[in-house]
Amino acid sequence: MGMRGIAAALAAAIFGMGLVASTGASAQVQMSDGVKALYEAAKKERELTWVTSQSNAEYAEDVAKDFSRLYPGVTVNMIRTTGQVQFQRLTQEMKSNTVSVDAYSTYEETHLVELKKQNAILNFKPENAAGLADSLKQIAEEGYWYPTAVSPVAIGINTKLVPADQEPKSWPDLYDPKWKGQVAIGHPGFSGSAGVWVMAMEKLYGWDYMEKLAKNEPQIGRSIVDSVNLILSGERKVAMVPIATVLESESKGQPVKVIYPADGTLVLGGSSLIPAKAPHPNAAKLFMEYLMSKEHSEFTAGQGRIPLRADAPKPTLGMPLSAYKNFVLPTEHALSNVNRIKEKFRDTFGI
Amino acid sequence: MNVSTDALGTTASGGRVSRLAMFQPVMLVWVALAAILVFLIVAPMEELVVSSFQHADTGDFTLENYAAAYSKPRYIQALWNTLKMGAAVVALAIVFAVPLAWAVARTDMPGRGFMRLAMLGSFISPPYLSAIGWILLAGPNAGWINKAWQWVTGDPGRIVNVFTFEGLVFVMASNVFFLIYIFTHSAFEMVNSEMEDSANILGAGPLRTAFKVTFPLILPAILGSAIITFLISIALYGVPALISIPARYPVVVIQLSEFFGNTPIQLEVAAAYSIPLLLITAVLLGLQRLVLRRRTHTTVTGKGGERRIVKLGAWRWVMFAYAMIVALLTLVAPTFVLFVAAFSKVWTRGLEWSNLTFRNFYYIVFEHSTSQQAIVTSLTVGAAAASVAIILALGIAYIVQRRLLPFAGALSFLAMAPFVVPGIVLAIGFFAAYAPPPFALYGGVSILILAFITRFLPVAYTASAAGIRAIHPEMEEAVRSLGGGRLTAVRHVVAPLLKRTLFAGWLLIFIPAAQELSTAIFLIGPKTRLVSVLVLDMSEEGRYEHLAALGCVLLVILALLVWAGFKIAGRDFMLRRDAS
Repeated sequence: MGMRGIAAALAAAIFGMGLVASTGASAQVQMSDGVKALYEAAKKERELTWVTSQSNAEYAEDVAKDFSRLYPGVTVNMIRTTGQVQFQRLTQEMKSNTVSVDAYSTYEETHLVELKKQNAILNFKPENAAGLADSLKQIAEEGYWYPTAVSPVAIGINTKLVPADQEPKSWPDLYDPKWKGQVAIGHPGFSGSAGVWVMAMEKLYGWDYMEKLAKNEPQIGRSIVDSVNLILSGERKVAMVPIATVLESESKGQPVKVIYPADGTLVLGGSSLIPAKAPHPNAAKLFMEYLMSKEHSEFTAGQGRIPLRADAPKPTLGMPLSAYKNFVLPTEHALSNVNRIKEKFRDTFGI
Repeated sequence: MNVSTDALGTTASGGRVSRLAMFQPVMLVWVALAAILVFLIVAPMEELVVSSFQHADTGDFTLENYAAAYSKPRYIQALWNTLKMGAAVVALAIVFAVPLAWAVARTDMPGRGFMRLAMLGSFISPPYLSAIGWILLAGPNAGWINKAWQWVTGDPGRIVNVFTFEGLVFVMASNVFFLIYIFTHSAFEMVNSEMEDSANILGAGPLRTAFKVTFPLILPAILGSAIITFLISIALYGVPALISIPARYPVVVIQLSEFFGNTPIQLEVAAAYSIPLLLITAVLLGLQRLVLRRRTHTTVTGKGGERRIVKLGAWRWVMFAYAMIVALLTLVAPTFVLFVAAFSKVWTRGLEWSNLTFRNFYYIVFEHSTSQQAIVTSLTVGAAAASVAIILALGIAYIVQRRLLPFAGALSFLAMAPFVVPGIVLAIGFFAAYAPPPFALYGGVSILILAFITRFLPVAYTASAAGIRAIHPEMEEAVRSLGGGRLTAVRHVVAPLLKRTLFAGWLLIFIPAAQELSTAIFLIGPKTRLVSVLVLDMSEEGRYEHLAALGCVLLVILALLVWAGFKIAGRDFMLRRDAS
């Protein structure tokens, strides 16, 4: 095959893939009158910007695509970043009166409360919120924010590097000296989930836990998804991880596994809201309805993640929350301690 | 960048235009240029200093921000760490750069052409990509070097770890040393062989001559560029973000991002914290100008003489080996790893047929809309900033060189002033001045373009001033005597004659602007995407394969543009510091 032949083949291949990617459209969805009205209004706005730190970028992109598949004509500009950065950018936008965010998804409760205090949240009651699992309804702040994700945080290990009889069993095993230089955690100054985890550990075991952990010289990533990559690559053997990412990698045949700590898996509840000055409020409302819809719960379960609705099927990966010991950190505790532990963490770990 | 501040000191002798010949529009041009410079430079810096003394809520005068910025030993430690890092980076960069510059400029070392190319590669490749290359190579457990070591020796230990002070310094130095190389190289080219010959005649061998005669002559160039390198390295954001956090070596830029990242933003504290950086820079640049002024004197005497190549004999192979090691460590190895990762399914598996994939590139170029936008935005912002900076600088340089207006010196001073402002500090100043109403520029690309124009104006000014100095005013006078106006002369005579110089200057701005991170990181809005910031975001998630593919796309585009630059502006466009 000559140069031209190769080029033609390449062009055909690329074209072909493009076709495959674009033919998935035109789905049908059962819409209530309210949602139908929102959809009509959203179509006029054509797009929305969704800033999220609730999942990795790939999954968030899939969610955005699923939304546009169900609601053709409304596209989602997805931006995945860390909880800290998204808040920083939104507050900067608010200061300069140039808000570009329509839907805002985070695990950082402090930010939610701060935004509410600043009257920066659009008041909206999604009708689909009624279908959420009862335990999750408590996370919602009626009219302000609603749960759109749960993320259990557990221990992840590299199964090639950690023999079965050496596996950690509970959180304190992370500071076992045998893992010196082999642990990965996230930085609370960059990641909200890491912050909640640090507070949870302090609540369970006192700050002593962090002092001991620091002796093990953990690698400190800017996000907790980074920890998963560190055990995937074998850069570290054990880590504090969001289980979703680990389960997904495990299902693809990667040598990683979730250990549900005997002293309890920490469950983080993530919420979404619409900023008061969102430029595409109707598209944003439609997106909020979608995040709490039956369709989205089915999509979530099909992706192996934990669905939010009571009427959802079981996830294809991992276990339902009822199958293992877990706990949540009360919002009040998180709110009153987050700034203190950030500083304390920096003092203990020196960064 | 390769800026020589000596362009400031000297002005053309010709071009005497009587004051009477001046007419109003030129005056207006002066006012307009001055207003633009105030907007770009004076206002952000003033806002930075003022807000450091302002109470966050009330705006009243206060020293609280300073108290807060230096309240913790950790904050002061970060300042001290930064100075220590800067000094170590400079020392290592000199070790890399000076022998190379000498060997390429003045000896018969083989592979000089390759080294010129490698230096060009160094210029194109942004520091954060090289840092990622080194993370893949020298990660303590999964890095390729350690894995290879374990595989070869069976020893489970590690031999390198990029997440250390040494790793940080090494990666920094390998990204900034080419600046010292460029300055020293051109100094070597100006040193007269006659002086070296005298030493030879008096019985000194080549090495002795080099140390006793040549090096003292180029010492000012080394010192001058070392100071600039120091300033650039303490203000670099990407490498510390990637390496010093895991290495737990806090530095100023990380501390600044902490103040910026707090809820609510501690802009005023960040401003207060960045003042020492500004002061250090100003003092060191003052020092550098003194040093360079001396250099100008020494090399002027050397200019007329002939420069001869030193025959190294067997030593040329030693030199060659050294040059290859430096090129390998600073450029070839990290770039190679990056390309391998870009073509890998899983980077840790390394070079294996079954691991080869084009999927990452397909994803970056066709599927991932964010990357597509980022590539377009980075290139557009770079091009816009380079174009405006060159036009602005050309106007100022013309007025200054032709002495068209009184107080033109003030314009040239302002045009060179951003040089003393570290990129990250500039960003804080811009944020303080233009993010809030009435300007409310935050969130769009305009604030990035404006900040980049400011950041690279000194480069543009130096290039333009050098170009204009080379054109004799007679040609413009001819136009004027035939009845053409000043603007006609500029458009039809000066601009065409300057085309090549200006294009070279344009590229010198465009390339760093298209990959800029240190200024962009605080000015980027959620909707603006730049390749540099996206790369950092992806590294946060450990998506090294995608990130590597994105980095490679950027590198290839920039390399093509530089190649075009070669074709249009000539081979030496990067190394030529004075077009006279």
